Amino acid sequence: MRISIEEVEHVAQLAHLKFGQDEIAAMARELDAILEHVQKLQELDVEGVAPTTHAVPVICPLADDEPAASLPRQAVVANAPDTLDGLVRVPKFIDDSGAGLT
Amino acid sequence: MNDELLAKYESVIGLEVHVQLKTDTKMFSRSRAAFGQEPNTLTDPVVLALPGALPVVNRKAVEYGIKIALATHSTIHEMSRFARKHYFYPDLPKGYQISQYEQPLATGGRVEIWHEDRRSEIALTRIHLEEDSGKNFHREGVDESLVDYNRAGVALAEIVSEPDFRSPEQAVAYLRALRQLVRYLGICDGNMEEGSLRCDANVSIRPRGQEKLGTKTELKNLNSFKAVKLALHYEIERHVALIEQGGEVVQSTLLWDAAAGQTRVIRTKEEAHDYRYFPEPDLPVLEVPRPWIDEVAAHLEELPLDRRQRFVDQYGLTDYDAGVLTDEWNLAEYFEEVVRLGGDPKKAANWIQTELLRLLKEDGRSIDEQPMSPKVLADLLARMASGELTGRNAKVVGERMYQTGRTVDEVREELGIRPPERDESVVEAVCRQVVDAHPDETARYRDGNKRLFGFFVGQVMKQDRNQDPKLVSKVLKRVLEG
Repeated sequence: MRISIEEVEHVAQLAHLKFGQDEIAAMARELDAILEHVQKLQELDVEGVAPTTHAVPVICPLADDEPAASLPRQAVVANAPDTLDGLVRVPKFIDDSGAGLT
Repeated sequence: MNDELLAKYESVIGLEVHVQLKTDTKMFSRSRAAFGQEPNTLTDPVVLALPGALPVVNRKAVEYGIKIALATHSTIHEMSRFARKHYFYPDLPKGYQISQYEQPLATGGRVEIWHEDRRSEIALTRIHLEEDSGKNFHREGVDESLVDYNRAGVALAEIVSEPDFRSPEQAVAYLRALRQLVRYLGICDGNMEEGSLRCDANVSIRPRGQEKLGTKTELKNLNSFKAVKLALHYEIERHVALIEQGGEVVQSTLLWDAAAGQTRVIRTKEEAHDYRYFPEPDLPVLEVPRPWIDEVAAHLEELPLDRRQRFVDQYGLTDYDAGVLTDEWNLAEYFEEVVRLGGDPKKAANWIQTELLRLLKEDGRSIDEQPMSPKVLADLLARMASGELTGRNAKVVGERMYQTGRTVDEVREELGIRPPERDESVVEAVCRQVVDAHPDETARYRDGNKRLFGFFVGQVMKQDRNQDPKLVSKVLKRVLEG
């Protein structure tokens, strides 16, 4: 097994996912199979091929800085679990930027 | 903490500055970007990460990135890449921020600063483009946070400096220079209170003479020049105290609590985020071809320190005066407009510094809100130059013009200020009258008590405030001594 239980737990924690012990074991097996499959790519000889993240050579399209209509607030907050005065209400958290701290 | 203890150590500081770009729309969508609007009214499917929505890069934001890179002599990469930075906060709808990681827009570069009367250079590590998060509100004693997504997706340029600062004051000087620069370039309003310019700092200490760097901590929430200075001093003293007591600094991230005047640990190295960066699959490589860079360079605004030097060379101002006048782009523009309209550069510089800036300061106004147009000030200076208004009266008239927004003539009429008497015989008559009325003082003056001269000038001026003190002095001297 290439993927350890600890690694699955770590990734699950990063993704804010909770699993039972048996689920984690199953997940490790499945991830192993996926990795093994992808491992095949390593057999390819890529000597002299530039690293690429897109299969098609596309240059990033750029848009002009022209504002379009915003979504109506009613629709925006309709998906929120809870709201207050048009703001989305969530359990308290400390943000990094600090810009919102009062 | 005593200075001797502090002096044993050298502090090493680096800054990461987030510059909110003054574009009309967001970094990756055409949702409007604006401050101070009703919460959650400036969003769209891209901002809110609704399924199927795809980001499209804002051309203007890239252009602004090129500008700041050019102005800091950075190397702009013709190919750069966006990356996803993952973390889960309610203010980040996608669960990741689109940023740049391995291949930023620009690397290297430098910012020239004035610190302790010297021009010095601070090296930059990188400049990259990214998007802002939403804004959160936390209320005291309430166990909840409120989120506004208007700011989510707003275009940011992050400017990362090398750890080149050796004191909090030097770091502040750099931040001021950077703020001035982005304002000159017109790419950011630099308003730290509104968060359009934000700063994080890395700080460590090491015994003087030691090459190896100490363990650093990261400070967040430094949203004013004062906060940067105070937080860094606080943190440096905390490091020194820890080491002096035989302990060690733990690598961690801290928040500056301005109200309490102290830093607070929010996480240590063990809890550090694993951002799982990877190339953003929704955005192809960002291409910035050389001709585009050249085009932006051709129209780049004159930079603050260049303008300061030009003011010295072109207008014969002192370096100090040039520094004051170029501090704000708007003020430099105002000064040059006055000069273009015929104002004498040195007199204009004087008047702006001693009168206009004083009046603005008293009112707590910025130069943008000043009520005297350059044309009106140029006119006032011209009347002074021609002798039509004495220095003293010009001051009175100018102040009243500032208060009322009226012209020189309107104010002069209102205050009953006439041009000073030019006929020497008329002035002489007044002088004789005053001298005759004060026989004792006259005798003492003629006996050698020359200090009484000021008394006579005062008495003559009292007769008619509109007289030119210079002419009065000249004539009075003749009357008293002749």
